[in-house]
Amino acid sequence: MNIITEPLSDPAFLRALADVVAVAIVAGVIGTFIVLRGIGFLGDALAHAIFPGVVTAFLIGANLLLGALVAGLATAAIMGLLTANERVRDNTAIGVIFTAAFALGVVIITSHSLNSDELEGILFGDPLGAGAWDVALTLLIGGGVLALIVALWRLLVMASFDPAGARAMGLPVVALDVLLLGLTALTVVVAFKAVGNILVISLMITPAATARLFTDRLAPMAALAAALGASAGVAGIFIAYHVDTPAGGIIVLTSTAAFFTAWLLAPKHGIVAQGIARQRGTLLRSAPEAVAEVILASPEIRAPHQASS
Amino acid sequence: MAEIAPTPSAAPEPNAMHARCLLLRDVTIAYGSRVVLAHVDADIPRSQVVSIVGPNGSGKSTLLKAIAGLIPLTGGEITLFDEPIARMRRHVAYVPQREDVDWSFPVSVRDVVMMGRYPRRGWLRRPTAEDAHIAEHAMERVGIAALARRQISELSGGQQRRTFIARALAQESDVILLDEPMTGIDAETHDRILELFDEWRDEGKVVLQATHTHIHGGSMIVLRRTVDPFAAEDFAHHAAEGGEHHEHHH
Repeated sequence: MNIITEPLSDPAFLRALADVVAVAIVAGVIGTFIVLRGIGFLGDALAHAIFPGVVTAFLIGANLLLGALVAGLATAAIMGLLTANERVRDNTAIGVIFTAAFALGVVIITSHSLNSDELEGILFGDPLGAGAWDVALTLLIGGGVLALIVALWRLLVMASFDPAGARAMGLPVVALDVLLLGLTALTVVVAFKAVGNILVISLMITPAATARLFTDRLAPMAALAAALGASAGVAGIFIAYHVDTPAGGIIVLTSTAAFFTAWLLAPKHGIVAQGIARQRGTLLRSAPEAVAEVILASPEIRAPHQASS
Repeated sequence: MAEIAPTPSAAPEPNAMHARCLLLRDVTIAYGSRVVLAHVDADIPRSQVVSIVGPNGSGKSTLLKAIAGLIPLTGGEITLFDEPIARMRRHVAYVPQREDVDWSFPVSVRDVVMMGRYPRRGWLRRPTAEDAHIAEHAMERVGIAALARRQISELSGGQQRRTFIARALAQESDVILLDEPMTGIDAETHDRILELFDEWRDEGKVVLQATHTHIHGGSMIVLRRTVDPFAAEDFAHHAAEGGEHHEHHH
């Protein structure tokens, strides 16, 4: 019991707990849209693009979140400009710009010898080092992101599910896409202290991908993703508190373990359940849409197995 | 269920059948430097079912998408009730081609049909009981009311098409655009869509479908390949009166 209660009397731990849970909830919900849109690559790239902003902010003593925000928005804008040229596909632009941004971060780091603890915090997060200000900012920005998603929920669904139909109805789909990316960038920024820059995408994608294996409904999927992420977050910082490892890594590994468990054992969409269903032939629809009726027009035409006899 | 009345238009009151409804003037579309459609002219009054026909790659789907506002025009203009169609989005319903929709997306049939109400209600307004009622009626009209709570991924091709047609119905639009509505569906859905074409015509709507199978007796826009680029001919009046199937002329 001591293992549980002891950290709970430590204010630093409580701050970490609040920070990680808040981040996981926001990341789970926005991750649901990222997973359903199939833009996980874009989300990951966005996280990397923020890297030089953070490093620069760190070096000049500015707020890290602010640096991340500026870099994220700048990169998103450059992305938009590049893809306006038809020859440059989205994934191409992502590959070019976002890795370049990350490389810039690396160059900035190595040319100003940062000590390894600081570097580790930036790359992998340091929730137990979160100050009251960090937590407050997380709650504020995270709450804002969540509120906006909830307010625009129906429109985000419509734009994600059938973008062509939505545009034809006059829905500003491109603006909503940009907004989704902007909110993703904000979430990356907010998640910084909790899991760091490299691992943040995992907190968005993995819980949502896990939830997708359990449900066919959108709102339950988002809620489950948030709950799964929060659970992994809590488990992660408890372990990190007792064993001296970066919490971010533990959180991501816990979350990944949950994903593989679901991938294997989820009731309907898990590998095992599908294997059993295939064995029993219950994967087929109960009512077939069509059955073959073979009408041989002439006695001259025979079915192949009759031909040789 | 009561019959629903022809949709009143918010545009300057059109003068019965002779009002200028959907007008395509010298529509030209190019992707980069490649011209896919050139000089399409069509003046389509109310109460018309128009089939856009032509060989593969002749730009049927492209023309439909242009009318739906999904592809920018390189030249020419498209107007609805004398307004640029970009400003009339609310009056145009679009049923996308099967390939353009993510069918694994976790939404229910009712969710999809209710989407048809958003533009009319205002994007940020909550749907009202009236919206729910109209959506319900739309689902009944295409025979999918019993499937309302089903996820779209669980439906057959025909049921999925009906779901999108119900969404178009719920939009209560003046113009209905359908991209290959008859592909990948069962015979019953096929027949129901044909009936709906007649009902829509009687309600004064303009229906355009990109298709391989021309609706006998309906109007046609025939797209054909010329040396360069593709050109179009409007067979609307011929076909509507005569009901004869015209292969393209030379």
